[in-house]
Amino acid sequence: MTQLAAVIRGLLHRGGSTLVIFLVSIAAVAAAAAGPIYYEASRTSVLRDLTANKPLISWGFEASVTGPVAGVESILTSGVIGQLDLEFGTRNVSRLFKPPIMSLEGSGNYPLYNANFPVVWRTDECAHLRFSGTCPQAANQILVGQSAARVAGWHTGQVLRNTGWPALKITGIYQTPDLNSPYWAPRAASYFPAEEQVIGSGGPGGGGASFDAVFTARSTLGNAPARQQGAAVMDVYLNSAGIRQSDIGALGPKMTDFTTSQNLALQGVIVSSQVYTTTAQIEGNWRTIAVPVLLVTLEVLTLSWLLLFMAVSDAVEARGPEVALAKLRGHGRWRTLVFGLSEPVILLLAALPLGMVIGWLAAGALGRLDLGPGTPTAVPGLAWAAAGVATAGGLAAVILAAQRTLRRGVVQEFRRSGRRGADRGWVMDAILLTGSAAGLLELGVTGRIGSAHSGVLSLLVPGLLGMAVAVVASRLLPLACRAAYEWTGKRGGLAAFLAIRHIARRAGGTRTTIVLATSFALTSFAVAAWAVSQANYRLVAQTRSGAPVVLTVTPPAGRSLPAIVDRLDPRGTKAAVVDNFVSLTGSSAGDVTLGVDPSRFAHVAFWPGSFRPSDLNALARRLEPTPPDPLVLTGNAMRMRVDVRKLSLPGELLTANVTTGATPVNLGSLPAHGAVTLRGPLVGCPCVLESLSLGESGKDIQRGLINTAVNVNLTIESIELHVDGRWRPVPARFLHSAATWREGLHDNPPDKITAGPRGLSWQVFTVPVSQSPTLASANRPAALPALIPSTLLRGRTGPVAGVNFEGNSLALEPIGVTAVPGAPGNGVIVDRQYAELASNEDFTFVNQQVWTTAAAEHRIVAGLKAAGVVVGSVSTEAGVQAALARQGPGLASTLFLADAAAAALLAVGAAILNLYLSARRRRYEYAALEASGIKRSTLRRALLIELAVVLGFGTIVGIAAGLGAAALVLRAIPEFVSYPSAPPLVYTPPAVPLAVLLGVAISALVVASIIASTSLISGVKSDQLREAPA
Amino acid sequence: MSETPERERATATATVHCDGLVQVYGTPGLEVTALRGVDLDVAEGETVALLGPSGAGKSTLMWLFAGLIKPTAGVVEVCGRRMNDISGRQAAKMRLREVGMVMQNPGRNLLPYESAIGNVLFAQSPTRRTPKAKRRRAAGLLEAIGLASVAHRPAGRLSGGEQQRLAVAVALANGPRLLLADEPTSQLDLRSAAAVIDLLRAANEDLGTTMLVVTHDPAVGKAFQRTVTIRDGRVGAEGRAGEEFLVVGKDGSIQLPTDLLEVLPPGTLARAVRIPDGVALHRADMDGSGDLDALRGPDSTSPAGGQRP
Repeated sequence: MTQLAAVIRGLLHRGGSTLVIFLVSIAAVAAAAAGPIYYEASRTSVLRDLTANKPLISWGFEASVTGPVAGVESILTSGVIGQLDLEFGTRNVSRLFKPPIMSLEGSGNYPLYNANFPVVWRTDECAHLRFSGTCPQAANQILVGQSAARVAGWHTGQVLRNTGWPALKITGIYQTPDLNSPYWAPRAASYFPAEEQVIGSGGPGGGGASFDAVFTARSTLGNAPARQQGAAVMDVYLNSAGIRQSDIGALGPKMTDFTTSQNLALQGVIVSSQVYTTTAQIEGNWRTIAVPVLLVTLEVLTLSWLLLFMAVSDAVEARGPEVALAKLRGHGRWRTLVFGLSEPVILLLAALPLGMVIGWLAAGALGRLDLGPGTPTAVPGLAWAAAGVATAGGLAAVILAAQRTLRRGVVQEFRRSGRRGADRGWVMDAILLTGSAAGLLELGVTGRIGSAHSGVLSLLVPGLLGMAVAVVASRLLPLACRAAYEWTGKRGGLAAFLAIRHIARRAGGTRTTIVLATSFALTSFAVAAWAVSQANYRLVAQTRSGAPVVLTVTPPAGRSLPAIVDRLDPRGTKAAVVDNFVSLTGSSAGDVTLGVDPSRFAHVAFWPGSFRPSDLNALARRLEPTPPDPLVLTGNAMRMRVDVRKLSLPGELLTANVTTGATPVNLGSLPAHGAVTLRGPLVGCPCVLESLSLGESGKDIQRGLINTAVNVNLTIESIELHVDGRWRPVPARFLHSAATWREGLHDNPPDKITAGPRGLSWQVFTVPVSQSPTLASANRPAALPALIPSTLLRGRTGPVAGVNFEGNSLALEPIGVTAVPGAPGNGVIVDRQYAELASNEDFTFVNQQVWTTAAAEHRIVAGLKAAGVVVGSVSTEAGVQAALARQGPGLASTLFLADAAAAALLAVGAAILNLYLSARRRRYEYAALEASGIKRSTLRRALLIELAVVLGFGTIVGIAAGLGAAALVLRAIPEFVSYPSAPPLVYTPPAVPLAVLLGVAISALVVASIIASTSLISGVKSDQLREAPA
Repeated sequence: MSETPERERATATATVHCDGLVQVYGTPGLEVTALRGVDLDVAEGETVALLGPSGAGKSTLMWLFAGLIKPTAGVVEVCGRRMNDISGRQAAKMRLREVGMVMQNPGRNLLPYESAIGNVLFAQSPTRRTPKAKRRRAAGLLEAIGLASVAHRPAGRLSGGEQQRLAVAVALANGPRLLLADEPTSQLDLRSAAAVIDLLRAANEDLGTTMLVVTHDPAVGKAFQRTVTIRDGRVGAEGRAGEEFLVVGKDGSIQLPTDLLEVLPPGTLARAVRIPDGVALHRADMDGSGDLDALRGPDSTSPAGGQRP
């Protein structure tokens, strides 16, 4: 106890070096522990990110059995539970899986509307529905959907008969639930077919429609008539909260075994699950974190050991006289060893728990910055092991550093007049240089330097290069100072002379240079890599999301979304409607067509400066060339006088395609020759006349299966609309200007369209396969101008084929751009109104979006909701960027930056202390110089210059080495789990973060140098001359 | 040359015995001979002050006696142990139990952050005494040197004189037979120096500790029983009871005191003339004949004589 107290007194006596050793020891332990802790937390974050909001099929399973509905439940339950127990073990099942959601499903029919509807019992159904009335408790009680009740006129208390079931009594009417909720999503398409239609086509109804499900008590299905066929369905989600990281590896294969189980197949149970794709995705993401974390931890750990070695060497060296005194007093070898090492060893041991805590806190702080919200930061066993390794490495550094002092004889210690012996030899330099060069060579040969996305081992380059440069630079500094010796002797002033002389005296250079240069090489590289990856995340996030905020919305039936947005943002600078169509079939699968309002789009969409062409406003203007006004049909009927000169097949129908979404207006048959007036009703207009087509009488309006030569020659003499009880002609230009029409089908020979005093003349010579002769209104360009990413265009010029909102071919006039906001590499942007015209205003497969600026988000969302628009999902550029940063490479980059910054900070502290102690040992020399008449201010300046030169040199060399490494391997450092095809990523480190790093480093060094030199020289006293030179 | 019976007796009871002791420090490209045949005996309980100019080899003798270096040639025995062959471990044990040492710089004798009593305890720590016994002895020593009142003050905050007295106490902590002190008063004022000298004498008288002290301080020489002057790596003179004697080396050489060098400057040719109780030296160029051939006469006992041209 007494000895421990003595050791503590010694530690307190050497406050500065004690503090540095303690801090460096803590840093080493914290660096070692933080990596595994952060790794563990980031795995949890990735696990949560990748399993959050996953559809059942990707993060659970659905099992079903069909048969007589009264008996299927027990087959399903016993089969599935038994097989789950077999695969996962009874104890694990409740941990791994959430409680199953059971459904019993039958079907009914409402004869009055000839409408089918599912009859369903589902676990806790009433808890997941909002309804008026009461929850069905007894058999044959039902809740019916609001839409079905509206269409069929159902009401609470009504009894439905002849549905294929015993009389069903309505006890309540439910509102359509959130179909995307985990509870409903797996069966939404089956239970709510009417709602699905609402989303798709704007309203329920129609003959032979399906009504939403009726929900009933379990007993209804349990007592179902024997003839009633149905299904039992079990939806089971995996329990993310109970799943451990160690479960993931086996989960995928076990789920596959489960889904393909022979036992279940024999019982007729069908299981659907694709959990293996999710677990593979999770494991792939984890792999992208593991190696970088290991490498980064090793690099920083090595640097910490080096720092520790340096700090301990100085501390033990400073204790040389005490160790000699112990020997002089007759302490044996072992006792001297204990005496000499006790202080650093105690510091190391004390640093272990504290370093763990700090590592845990640091990992937690980092986690709060870039991991998913609420991600727990646990301390895994690996963290303790890593901390143990760090401490063991520290002990080795202590022993290595102390051995010279401990082995030095008493006489040698007391008679030493200088510290030349402290100069390091060439052996260590040769080892470091050879190791670094070999490592760089290996990386170069294996293609990890200079090539793109080649792997995480490239992370070793900055450390190796920094070390190699540092070793060489540390030797060059004394040489350079020696060269400057003469100059400072004559012109540099006494202070510079003294400073340069002292640096030049150490032929081997200083460890300070090595440590500083290496740590700043790592730091500047980490800053560059982090800044580049953040810039790329931002770039990719901006182009992926398209705008700061993207709202996916459903406008109320019969309301125009653009009109609502126009009212909310009359200036057109805050919000833009975007029609987003993703092609799912054919060769265009995955291609995206975005219909935008060009001027609004130009205000709201991201268009980074690196994109070409750079002027988005000019591009937007090119999207909307002005064609003739559309022919707007109003009233309740239209008529058309046609003079037929020639018609190869008599009795053709003339059909007007209008853009109301309803079926085409059938105007009647044309004669083979002569004039006729045709009429047809208009429903849902005003609407736009899209085209006029010819079809075979009494058959589909499309013609046969082969190209057919036809001979049509007719003149449209008038078009009139029946409005307010009177026939009114359409504007004359539609009959007297051929420019208002164009050939609807491109074939050869082309149709001939001319305008004359009698009207519009149309001649057709041939009709392609499965097409009808069409005269199209020229209300939009023949080929829509489209912004197309260069990666998709692949150098093609001239019109290209895209897809319209119906999935059909759409002629596009390409304008090559770097990337397309919203669909960077696989999207085309066209004018929304033209695209809608080209798609017959069919929104069935279109996701309607509203893009807004960040500032306007809340106002626009509130306005949309007030207008009855359902805002389904909100995606933000910041959210996308955060998600990218939470992927493995992003997390590794952040850890690297944090560790390297901490190491640099410690290196600066250790370097300053090292120089301070070194200068302190020279107080005798300073006292002698002062006694010889040199001013104290000159001595202070000399020390300041010395500190500034050594520290500044190490820092600048390190930063230069780091930037050199960045230039070599930045492209090879992984940034994404899967790289985007567009936009092109940028690898030039932004100047600001590097300037900040340089500024902070230089400022810290200057301030520390001033403080150190001032305090040191103020402590120099002439009394010190009485002491023997140290 | 055989030793005299008197010297043989002295050797038998000597705490320190040196015979033809030679010490050469070797550094690459340079060899420095610090001692060139020192013969010296220090008897048990004797107090000896080692005098001599800087660089004469006094400190080297101390290192040798403490077992911190080994002699290049000759014999050195301390407390009956031949130091030529002693191992590092044995030397450490010796320093622990039988040889105490005080260095010139007070700060080097002490752990500055440790208290006065802590420093004495530190010196005792390798011994097998009980902690209580160690503490009692340390307190006794501090009492004896007048530092009981500052026993718990860190050594680094004591005055120079206090530090040196404490250093003596630390050196005496384990009751050594021999105390070696290297200029213990050189950095002290007169009063503090006197206190240290009193302390050393008291230790000798009370504990019978043999004292061998390197000093330039005449007060130390006067206070001690014998002075031994080392010049140019040899024992040049000895002083007893205030009288200075030349010491004839084994090779017959003698080193004249500085004041006689005015009469016989270095390089002078002198004639050694046997007289009844010794030898008289006469300058050859001052014997009146002026004839150098006379120097080669039959009565000449030495080839030396006269000033070289």
